[in-house]
Formats: sequence, structure tokens, C-alpha cells
Amino acid sequence: MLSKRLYPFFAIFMAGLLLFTGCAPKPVSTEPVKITIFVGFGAGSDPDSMAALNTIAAEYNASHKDIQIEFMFSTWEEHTSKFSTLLAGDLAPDLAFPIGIQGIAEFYDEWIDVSPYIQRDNYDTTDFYGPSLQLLNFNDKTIGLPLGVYPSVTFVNEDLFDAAKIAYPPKQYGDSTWTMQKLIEVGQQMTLDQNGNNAASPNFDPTKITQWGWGGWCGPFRTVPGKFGGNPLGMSADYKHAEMNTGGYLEGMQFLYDSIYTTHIRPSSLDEGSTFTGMDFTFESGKVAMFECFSWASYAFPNFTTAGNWNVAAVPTGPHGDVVSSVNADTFAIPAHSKHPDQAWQVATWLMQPEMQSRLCGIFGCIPSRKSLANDWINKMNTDYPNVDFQVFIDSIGYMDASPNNESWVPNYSKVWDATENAMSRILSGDSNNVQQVMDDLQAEAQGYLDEYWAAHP
Amino acid sequence: MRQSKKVNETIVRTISTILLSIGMLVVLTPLAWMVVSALKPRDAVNTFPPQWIPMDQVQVAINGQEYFLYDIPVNGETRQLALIDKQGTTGKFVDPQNPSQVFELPVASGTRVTQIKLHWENFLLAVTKVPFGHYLLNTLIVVFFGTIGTVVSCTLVAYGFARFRSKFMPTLFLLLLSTIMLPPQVTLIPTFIVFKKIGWYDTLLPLIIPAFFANAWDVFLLRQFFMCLPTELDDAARIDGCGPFGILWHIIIPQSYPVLATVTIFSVLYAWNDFYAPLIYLQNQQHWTLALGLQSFNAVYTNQGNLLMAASTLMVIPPILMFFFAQKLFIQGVVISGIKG
Amino acid sequence: MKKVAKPMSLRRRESLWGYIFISPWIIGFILFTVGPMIASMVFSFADYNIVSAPTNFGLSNYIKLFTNDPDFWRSLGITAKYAIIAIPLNLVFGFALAFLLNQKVPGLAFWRTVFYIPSVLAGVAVAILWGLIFNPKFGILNWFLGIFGINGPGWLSSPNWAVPALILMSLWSVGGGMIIYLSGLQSIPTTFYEAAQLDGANSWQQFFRITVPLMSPVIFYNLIVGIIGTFQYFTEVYVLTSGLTGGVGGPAKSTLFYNVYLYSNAFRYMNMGYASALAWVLFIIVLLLTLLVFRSSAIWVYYEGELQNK
Repeated sequence: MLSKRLYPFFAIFMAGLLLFTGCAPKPVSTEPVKITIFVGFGAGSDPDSMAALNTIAAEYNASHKDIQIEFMFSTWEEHTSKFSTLLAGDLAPDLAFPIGIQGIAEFYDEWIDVSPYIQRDNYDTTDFYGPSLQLLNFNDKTIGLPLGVYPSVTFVNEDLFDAAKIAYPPKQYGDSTWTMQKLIEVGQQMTLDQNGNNAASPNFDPTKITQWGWGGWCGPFRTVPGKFGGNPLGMSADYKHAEMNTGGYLEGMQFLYDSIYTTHIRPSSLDEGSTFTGMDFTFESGKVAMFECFSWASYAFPNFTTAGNWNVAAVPTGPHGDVVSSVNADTFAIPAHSKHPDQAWQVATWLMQPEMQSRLCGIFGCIPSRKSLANDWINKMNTDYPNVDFQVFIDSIGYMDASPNNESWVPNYSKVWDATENAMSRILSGDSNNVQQVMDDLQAEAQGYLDEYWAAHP
Repeated sequence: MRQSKKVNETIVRTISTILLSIGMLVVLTPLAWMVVSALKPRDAVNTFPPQWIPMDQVQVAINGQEYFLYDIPVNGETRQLALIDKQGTTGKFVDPQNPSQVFELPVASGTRVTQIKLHWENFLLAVTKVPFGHYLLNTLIVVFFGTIGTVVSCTLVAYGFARFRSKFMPTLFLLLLSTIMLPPQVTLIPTFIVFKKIGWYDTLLPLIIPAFFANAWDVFLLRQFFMCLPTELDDAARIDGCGPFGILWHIIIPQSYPVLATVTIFSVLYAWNDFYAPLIYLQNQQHWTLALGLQSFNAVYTNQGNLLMAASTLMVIPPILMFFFAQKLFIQGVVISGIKG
Repeated sequence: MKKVAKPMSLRRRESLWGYIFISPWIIGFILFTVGPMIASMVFSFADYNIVSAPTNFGLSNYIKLFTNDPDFWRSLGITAKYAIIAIPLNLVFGFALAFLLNQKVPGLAFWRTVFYIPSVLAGVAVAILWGLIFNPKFGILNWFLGIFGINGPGWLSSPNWAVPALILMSLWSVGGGMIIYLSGLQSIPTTFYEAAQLDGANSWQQFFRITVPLMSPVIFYNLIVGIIGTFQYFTEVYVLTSGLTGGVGGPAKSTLFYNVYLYSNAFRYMNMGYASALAWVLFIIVLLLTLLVFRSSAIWVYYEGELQNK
């Protein structure tokens, strides 16, 4: 029992204690900011990529106290429903990564302009390929920094060329003999029926083809018109008038039609559905001599190797002198609904550092957009595929369709996209052999979608 | 008389077996393809023409590097040599046993050597490349609780619709059916917002709790079956003093094992295979279910056809086993039909 | 009805018990279902792109739907055509298969499992596997036809044969319906057949006088569920006929089913308002069809334990 005399001291002591703790500077709450990164607009959703990205997240989180990152994965097929649902539910992710031009176009109004950040941080963009920066500069905003590019090249099955004793297409750009006309000629020599007659011979039987000279272009139809002097978007610069039944659109579709039904160098989609069932690319069969595709086909390189000894060549020149290596690109984008855009930008720049970029491109299969990383990439690819000339990919970057890109935004994006793809499928499947008619139908449909858009957005 | 009946039966049995065998071929061939593809190497799942036997292109290791082996004619005899370099149409070939001697031969004159190889490791890979343990646990939780919820709630509700008259019953039943007539894509967003507001986002709860509130498909099915059961037994039990729950438990349910087994099987299967709800309501990979994880093997820009087939094969086995062993419930039990004596 | 106090309270008690038993569904309906349904109806009268709030309330979606949308009619036509063929086919096949598997065939458990397997396979792998059956050059189907000298068509790659291919595909997973029919067949007391046989009835008579009528509730179920489900047919079509390249709707839009078109509007064109209008139009159509079948059921559906005021 405390002696009564000590009570006052005790009270003073307690009061002092309370005063002291009450007045002591309170530590500021340092909850780390959680940045969620949405993966699903393109690559990155397969088990290996998910594991690799989670490892990267762990590394980031171990070395950063103020920001923690988490990758969230969606399948590509459902990415629009998942992403839009999150936005509607007020759970917007802070970054979409990796995302391509098409992904950007799908939610175009949602992405914030990052040029203020670039200026604020004096971010050095000199190491990026010029065209890859151009890709991300839209009319009213810059949406990201270039992570990787996927230019197109011609893939060549050297075994088939060897057997036919024909010279491989040239690897260097600037060879004036390598035109689309030459492509047709070589393609015909490489297309064989079951009796060994090639497509240029009078005894050729187009119903019994066993080997094709050309696998076509692997991309959507909008990669084609540029090669014929046209505009990939197929409309006037003000996006108000469709221009899809003339010029590059018409010529391109006609070329496609002829390659299947006139010169017979390319399989139809019926052939693709039967002979090449399940393959992502007919080139995997070993029965196709040439084929033009983006570098993201690298995930199928093992299949190409199984099909035979392969290599790459330059993209041929179009009939009006255009050399177009259609390109896809990866970047990041910050949604306007994100609650932490500043931190999102910080994370994005961390991911864009050269070493990180190199690592990420290894995961996604892209060519890093930094010039300084070109040789590293070539050497890395050569360890798995020693005989392939990967410099051709780097050279192709100089010919990519940066502006406008084949995936660029147009009004009523998905409807116009679907309409164009449907037109192509009609030709590929043999549903119609009147190219002008198909393109006229497309023109009418697309114009309808444009009109619909502008009526709602005067 | 008895003789021709026996012959009749045998004829029926034989025809049945033949028909069933043909049907089995049609039904099982894709399954066989799935298993065969699961055993293939990565780059041979889709070949031209399709392979029914998993084959590898043979590679040999020389000084730490792998090279393809070719059957190629050298000086009149065919030998197996490895292609170590290629310059244009000419290749440098060596004998793996004696790599110092290099033959320069046209590559087109040789063909790659293939051999049969079953890649059993694909099954292990399919399981180890993903957080399989988490996927499995989450799936079992959803399946277990979801099935209990469905069977219990649907039985109660169906019993209500089948055995009780009231002014509003027909309307309510129609209302119940109408809930499945609206395509779920348009209610996805509002439903999501409801669950998000409750705080159930990124948990398994949206996948489990709704099961406890019955669904139209199973209620309708059970109701049909319950309405086939004669009411005399109900009446007898009522006279004996049974209340509605007692009638349900002692009379209705024992006569309904086949349909209850059906509802259970469907419920398990649905929860096991559903990937859409997990995709929408889950975020963290540790919360994923097997069905959602399976989708990742089919991601774009990947080349995992064989692993996808391996994972799909594994996914298919438990439901098949479950169905096989649940057969007992489909065998006609002793039917209580002692009314007319 | 005698107006005596006791029978009245008995009826009310019966009603009450009825509501008690169906209460789990009612509660769930109020908590989880009715709100979103009303929300989607509201959306159908507006422009809603999911990312921002709905605006522009009015009838424009419905007007456009009925007067200015060829794809609406096309998708409805494709779906209806599919339904008319697939539903009866599935009904008959499922029943026949179940009947077959109810005979004393050796290895019953094995056979039932075999035919049940297709319905177990999940969407993704199935799509790839179907490339096999329908492969025009190497597929089983065309190989089978080839035995009879028929040159099989392009199936899934061909605008004219894609839908027939899908119909055949639906038959493959008839195992689901088969199980339901099996349960039904198993529930028919054997005493009925024994009594009939004693009375001298042969197999055909037994089938049409006993089996079919007693199975009518199950057939009714499969018919209704078939209508509701078929008009919403989506997953297989979507997985099989839309991918990285090529627009939604398959070869030359020949597989643009109603729900696929709806989904495109909702999540590709970000036009959830219009998609909701499409959904409610479908709702009305399916509701009317269902009511029709319900009305007809008085004639052909027989319940052993039916209550008198249904």
C-alpha cells in the first residue's frame, strides 16, 4: 500500500507520462501502396510466364518498402470482361502490362497521358527505337514507354528450298529483286502437287496439292493494305469516311484471293482446317516453304525446328514500292480509374530499366525496344537457333508501320475490326470469289459503323 | 416359349453391345487423342499428318550441344549422322561416335531419324508448373460445400413445389424458371458489384454461398421426380404422425436415390469444371481453382499443347472415377410399393 | 369446398409449409438475383459501356434491335434453326441411349461411364479434340463417311457445314441427358412391368404404355431445359469459332449464335446497354415458348403423385 505521502508524486509522475506520450511526435502511418498489374491483354498468362512474373514481383517487393506490387492474371479470351468488370466494380488495376496497340485501342479513353511524367522526370528516351516511340504517341496523348517490338519477317523452310534447288529469298533489305511478284514466282515453283508438278507447270493439279509455296501473312487483314500503298485503317484521316473498296484494301484482298485460287501458292482456310488442324501456323507442318509473320511466333520456333531447317528473310517489296514489316508492340498503360498513378509510373519505369526489360522480353518473347539491347537479343536467340540470322529482325524494325499501326484506334473499333476480319474469312474460305463485291460489302458495313459512332459523338 | 425368349434376349443383348461398341469408338477417340498428345514432346502435338503414336526426332549430344540425327547416304550406304552446321544447301555431318571426321553433304538428301517416346514427365510438369496444391484445395472446397448446399437447398425447394399447394406456387415456379432464361452475361456486372460490396471479391464465397439458395435447373429436375412418387405413402406417413420434414426424410428421399445421385453428380461436375466464376471473382493466383488454372495452359503465344492435354487428362479422371463408383446408386434398390399388397 | 374452419386452416397450413420449404430460393432470389435482373433491365434502356455510368435513357436500343440490325435476325435465325434440330435429336438420342443402357447388357457400369465421359470434358480441351473428329482429311467422321464412298465436307471451316458440325457435337455430350433419363427409367417400379407381362403385354406395348408415359415428366424436363439452354448456346461455339484472327461468328458469320452476338455486344463492342436489350428480348421469346410447352403438358405429361390444383 502506497503511503499517502507519495500519492502526489505518483499523480505527477502519471500526468507527466501521459503528457509526454501525448505530445511525442506520432510516427506517420507508412502503409505501403499496393500496385496491381493486370496481365491479360497479350502475353504473360501461361504458367511459365506467371511464375517468372511472380518472381519479379517478389524481388521488387523485397527491395521496396513504400510500394508493393502484385500481378493479376486473366486469360486473353476473357480479358475485356475481366478488365471492364474490375473497372465497373471500382477495383481498377493500376497498370495494364504488357499491353499492345490493340489493347490500348480497346479501352482508348481509359489510359492516362504519361508525357507529363516523362517531362517531370526528364526520362531519357534516346535508347528506344524511334518508330517504337512513334507507335505510342497518339493524337492527344502518349500512353506508355516501348517495352518490346514484334516486327514481321519472311520465314523460310530451307529444306524445301534445298530439295527444289532454288535460291533462298534474300536476307538483306534493299534487294530490288525481292518483290511480291518474285514471291509469287518462287511460290509457284515451290508449290507441288502429288505428282511433283509445280504450280507453274501445265500439268499441275490444284486439287491435289501436297506442298505450298507460301503460307500467307499470319496477321489480321489490316497488316496487308500498307504493302499495296494503302492506309491500314482503311478510312480518311478524319475517321469519317471508309475507304475499303479501293486502293490498298482492294489490291491487298485481290492478292490474297489470287494467291489461293489463281496462283495456288497459299492454302485456303478449308485446307487449314483440315491439313493443318490445330497448328497455329501452317509453317509448322514442314509443307510450307515461305511464310510472313511477326516475331512473337518465336513461341512456335521449336515446332518450326521440328518441321525442318528454317531461316528468315526480308519482307518483299510491294507493287508500288512499299516495304512494310507489320509490327505489334508491347508497352504498359495506366488506367484513369487507378488510385495511384504516380506509384504506377514508378513501377513502370522500374520495369523498363534495361536489365528488367531484357528479362521481361525473355519472358514475353519480344525484341527489346532499346537499341543497346539488340546484340544481346541476337546472341540469346542464336544459342537456341544457331543457324538463323536474327539480324533480319532488327533490320525489319526500320520498316515497321509505326503510324498508323495496323492495330491503331478507329471509331467503333471492335465492330470495324470484326467486319474486316469477316471479309477476309469470306475470301479465305471460298465463300465468295468476287473480291470487289466482298470489299463493297465491307465498305458499306464499315461506313455504317463510322456513321453510328459519329452520330453518338458529334 | 422359354427357348425363344432366351434367344430373343441374347439377340437384344448382342445388338445392344454392337451398337454400344460403335458408339464407344466415336466417343472415346478424342479422349484417346488427348492422352496420346499428353505424351508427346512439346513440338509435335499438332503435326501433319496427325500422329497417333508419340514420336521424337532423335537428337544426340556432342560436346554438350544437341544435334539432330539424320539417315543420310554416304558413299552408297545409308548412315546415321548428326547435323552440326549448315551453310546454304550443304550441311556438315559427323558420326556421333567419331565426331572428328566431318562429312559435307547436301542436307536435302537426308531425313531426320525418329523414334517412339512416351513423355510421362508431362503429367508431372503439368502439376509442378502451377501451384497445383492450392488449386486442388480450393477446388475441393468449392466442390464439397457447393454440392452440399445445392443438394440440400434444391431438395427442400423442390419438395415445396412438388407437394404443397398454394395460390402463388405456380407463379413462383414460373419465376424460378425465368431466372435461368436471362443470359448471365448481362447480369454479370451488377452481380459482381453486389459481391464486391459485401467484401467477397477474391474469396471463394461467391462460388459457394449462392449454392445454398437453390438453382432452377436442379429444383426443376427434383420437382419432376418428386411428382412421380405416389402420394399414398405420404398420406400413410401423415396418419402415422409424420410432419412435413418427416415425410421428406422418411418417404420422399429414400425413393429418390437415383435422381439425388444425378443432382449430386451434376453439381460436382459443374463446380469442378467452372472456370468463368473463378476468373471473375478471384484475383490472387493462390485462390484459383483447377479449372481456371487449366485455362492458363491454353494461353495465347504459348506452345504448351502437350501440357494442356496432360492437365486436361488429369482433370478428367476424378469425375470419371466418381461416376463409375456412384453407379451403385443407379441400381434399382428395393422399391417400396406395398400399397396394393 | 365446405366452408368449415378446419379445412381452411389445413389449406393455409399447407401453403405455409410450402413457402417454408421454398424459402431458401426466395431468400437467394431477393439477395442475389432480383437486383441484377432489374439492373440489366435498366441498362437495356440506356447506353452503358461498363466503364462509365449508363446515360441516354430511352427506347433507342429496342428500336434499333427491331428495325436496324440484320445481325439480330441472322443470329436469331441461326439459333432457332439449331434449336429446332438439336433439341428433338438430343431428346431422342438421350432417351434411346438410356434405354439401351438400362437393358441387361454385360458391363453396365462400364458402358454408362464411357458415354458419360464426353460431358465431363471441359471447354478448352474439347475444342481442340473436336478438330480431330471434324478434320476433313484425317477426321474420324469423314473417314467413316469415306467407307460408304461419301466425300465429307469441310465441317467447322465451311460456312455451310459449321452448324451441322455443332449439332453433331451436341450429340456427343448427350451423356448428361442420358443420366437423367436413366434415373427416370430406374425409378419406374419393376412391378409395373411384371404385372404387364403377366397380362400378356409384349415389349412394344410395355414401352409405349408404361415406359413412355411414366417417363413423360423427365421428357418434359429435358424439353424445357433444352429450350432454355439451347437458345443460350455459347461456350463451345465461342471457343471453337473465335480466336486471335478472324472475327467473331465463325466462317462467314455462319455460327453467329444469338448469345455469341450478345456477348460481342457486351464485351467486345462495350455496348452493354444493347446487349441487355438483346438479353431481354431473348428472355421474352424463351418465356413464351416455355409457357407454351407448359400449357401443352396437361395433355401429355403424367405424374403419379400429382396434386390436384396445379
